[in-house]
Amino acid sequence: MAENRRSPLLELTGVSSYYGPVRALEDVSLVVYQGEIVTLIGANGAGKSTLLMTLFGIPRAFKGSIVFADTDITHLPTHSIAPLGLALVPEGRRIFPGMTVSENMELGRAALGKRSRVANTDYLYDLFPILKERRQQKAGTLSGGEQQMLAIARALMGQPRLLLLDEPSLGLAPMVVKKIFALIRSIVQSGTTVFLVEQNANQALQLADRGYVLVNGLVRLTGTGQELLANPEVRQAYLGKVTSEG
Amino acid sequence: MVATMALEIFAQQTVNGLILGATYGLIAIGYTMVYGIIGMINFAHGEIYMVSAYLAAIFLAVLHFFGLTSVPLLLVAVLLATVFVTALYGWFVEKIAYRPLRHSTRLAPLITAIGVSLILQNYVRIAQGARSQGIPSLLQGSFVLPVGDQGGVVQITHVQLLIIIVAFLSMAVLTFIMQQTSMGRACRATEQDRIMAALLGIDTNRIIAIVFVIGAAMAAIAGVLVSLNYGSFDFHIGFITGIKAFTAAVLGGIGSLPGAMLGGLILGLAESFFAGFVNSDYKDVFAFSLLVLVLIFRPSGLLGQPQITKV
Ligand SMILES: Nc1ncnc2c1ncn2[C@@H]1O[C@H](COP(=O)(O)OP(=O)(O)OP(=O)(O)O)[C@@H](O)[C@H]1O
Ligand SMILES: [Mg+2]
Repeated sequence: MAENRRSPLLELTGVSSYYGPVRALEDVSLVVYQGEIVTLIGANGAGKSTLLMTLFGIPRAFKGSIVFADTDITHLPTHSIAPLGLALVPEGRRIFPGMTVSENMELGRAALGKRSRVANTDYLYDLFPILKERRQQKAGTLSGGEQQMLAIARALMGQPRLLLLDEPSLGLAPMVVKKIFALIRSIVQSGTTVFLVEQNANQALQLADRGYVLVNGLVRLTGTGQELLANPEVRQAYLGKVTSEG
Repeated sequence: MVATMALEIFAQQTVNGLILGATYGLIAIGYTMVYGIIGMINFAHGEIYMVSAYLAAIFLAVLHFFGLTSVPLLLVAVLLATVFVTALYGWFVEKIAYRPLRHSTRLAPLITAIGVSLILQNYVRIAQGARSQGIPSLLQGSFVLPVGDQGGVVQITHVQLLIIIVAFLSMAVLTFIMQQTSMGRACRATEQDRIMAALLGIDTNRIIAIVFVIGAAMAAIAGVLVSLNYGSFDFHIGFITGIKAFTAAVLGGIGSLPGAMLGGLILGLAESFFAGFVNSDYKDVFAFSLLVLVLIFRPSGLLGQPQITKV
């Protein structure tokens, strides 16, 4: 891993963003290196989704800079960001319910932009056989877990370098959550870097190389997955465990 | 004898209604697609239609002046040129009047739409004069078909046949583009969730501009066809036709593309039957009463989805 650590894939430096007068992110700095799984955990309303959306300029970073793959994206229009190789599976999935599964997938190709390489549809249908089965079905008729998979598959259609996932396990049965986490692992193995936002701190930290803890829009803690799992503050606040030292 | 007459009127008014309805449908497409994508009623759309009628007359005169006399070639050239320039108008109106207001209140673009309407009307009045303009009838002649076994007939002029063919062909092509091409998919995605579309890398401002261009192009097709059929127009025609087409869009379910086409046909037929069997002076009243009834019993229109809120 050490050789990758020299050039960050994504780097936020002192980013603050606001919803009107309300500050949602304050001086956030974080970095994701090529090939890693990095997780961001935090309570409801900590600003996790805001951080992901700020990468795309909704809302726009008021201060600080965001650099992705050596490109300063702080001021780029929203639609020019995905084609650089940054894909978001947003909170609530935001699939297009009135369109078929395969149309939803096709829309993910917009992100290929000028990179337009060969489509990886077959690979993705192998990775998500259920989507292949349902490809002519309206996306709105899929179950929650299937919709989550569709949102991930749609993002991967753009062949991103960095995949951003906003609470992919939210509202899903434990079995399905397990499946999603296994999928994330195989996505990383195939060479895509993953930045995972989760409330499911235990599983996320187990999976991740490194993690950040966001509290009220501020990065409170950072460390490797194991370090954070062992951290008393994390254990108490996010893993629901009372520490023995406490 | 009476039965034959009734049958004759019925057949003739069906033909007339289909033709009227097809043109309402073409214009309604612009209202419905723009509403679908930005949640705004483009009240200037009727004026775009009006402008296209003038453009058609100008192109016809110019091409004729330069010696183009073949009728089929003239028709095609006038149609293409009018569609192209009218589409530019649509693009330009969106760019200068609506795009700067994209993130302001809902009411602001409605008010600029009224402003754009007035500007276009007065611009045409000043440039072309207030008197009604004529367009030479390029296609004369008609088909006469027998109806029933009592010697009744129904007449379809060549222009009417052209209107039916061109209108339905345009709608079919547009439906294909929207359903099968990546641009059409991007339009539908932008319509359903503009933020998500942008996150995926779709330039939603460009898509919105394209929708205005498509709407204007469809209105221009109607403008050329109707002018050829009636032979005259003035700078007021955008208003009443615009309201009718808007009614058609609401009738079919605003935001729905097939709804606009269906709404147009139903409105055209209803108006035509009312004029044929009841009273032709009150056909507009009847058309709007129909709208009121639909709004009472099916507020989302025939093919519309109930309650879409845009952000
Ligand atoms: N569109 C918005 N307008 C105004 N305030 C917002 C908006 N979206 C989020 N906020 C506020 O910003 C803060 C951070 O919200 P955010 O959605 O980023 O939190 P989160 O960490 O993703 O929470 P959750 O785990 O519940 O998804 C919250 O206080 C929220 O109320
Ligand atoms: Mg969130």
